[in-house]
Amino acid sequence: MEMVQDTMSNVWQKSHLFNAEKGSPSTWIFTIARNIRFDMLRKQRNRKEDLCSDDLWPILCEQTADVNEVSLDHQVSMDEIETMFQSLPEKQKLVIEAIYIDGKSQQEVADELSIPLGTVKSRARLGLQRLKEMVKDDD
Amino acid sequence: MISFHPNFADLQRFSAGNCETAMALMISAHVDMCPQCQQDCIEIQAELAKELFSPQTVIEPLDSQYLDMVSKITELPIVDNLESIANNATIELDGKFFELPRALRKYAKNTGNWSRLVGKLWQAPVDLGDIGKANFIYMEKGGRVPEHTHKGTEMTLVIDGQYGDGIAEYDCGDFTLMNNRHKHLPHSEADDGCLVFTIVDQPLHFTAGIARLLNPFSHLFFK
Repeated sequence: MEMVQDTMSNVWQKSHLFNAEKGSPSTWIFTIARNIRFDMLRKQRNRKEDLCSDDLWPILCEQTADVNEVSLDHQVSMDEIETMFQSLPEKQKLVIEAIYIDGKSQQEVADELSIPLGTVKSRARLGLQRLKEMVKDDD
Repeated sequence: MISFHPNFADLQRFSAGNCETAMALMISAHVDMCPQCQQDCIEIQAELAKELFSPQTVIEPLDSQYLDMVSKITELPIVDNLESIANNATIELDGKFFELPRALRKYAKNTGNWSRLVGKLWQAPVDLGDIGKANFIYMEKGGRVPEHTHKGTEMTLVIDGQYGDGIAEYDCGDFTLMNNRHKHLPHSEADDGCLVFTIVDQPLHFTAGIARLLNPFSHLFFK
């Protein structure tokens, strides 16, 4: 129980040091629990030497990288996305709004706008690509 | 180039926090120097984390004791940047400075004076506290440790330079684990010699020539 509490306290107190770019939250929490357990076991055995878990695993805590994870630092607010979205060319905006906000199928959008399905797909793709670039440049 | 790494099972134990402390220190120092093992450890940790957080355990309703704990925790202050203690990053021998991997810097201050062992061989003892004793061994060009085997195990990490031991050639960052099955004769032909960090849990046992006379005293030197 003490270990759970210590781990959770650490997670809480150091949460602002967590860098999602460098790893997933679960791995981060695992490394904190692992380190606490290591230090507790050493303490229980009355080890006086000042070697502690941070000496053994510092870099790994910082470097755990998971490329699939969305970085919290890079999260963009809804307002910002709205502004970026509004800056898209009218035709792309229309298609993306219909598909991603109204939830229509690409075929429905094609029928409504009387344009070929291929055009709907390419407008959506180009628009999203552009948004993605804007989000990336926003850092 | 690094060609000798801790074996995968030891990396797993290290990542899980389950390996012996002396071994953990050696692996940690090796990992500081080895991008490949860094990557392996990252992957192992992610695996272990996945196991730990796999939703196989039944989630019980939160009891009041638990909620009490959580509310206590969330009242704790946020920890600002963790202070890091600046340790000596180098050790010196005869005006030569050697940069230490991060994990070993802590022990720079616990390193005793260099003493000449035999010929072109230097040794500086390192007090690791309860973990045991370690040594920095420096082989000048042409320096050699008499052929020996081990009663226990010998872990060695190359900090600077290169050496060979009749079994293989070792480069900066290489980690080796020797036991009583290995008989070896470390020597360096590198122009700048070779600095290694080594932990033995039992004295060396010399196997050839006049050095065998050292055996009764080897605990004085090589431990």
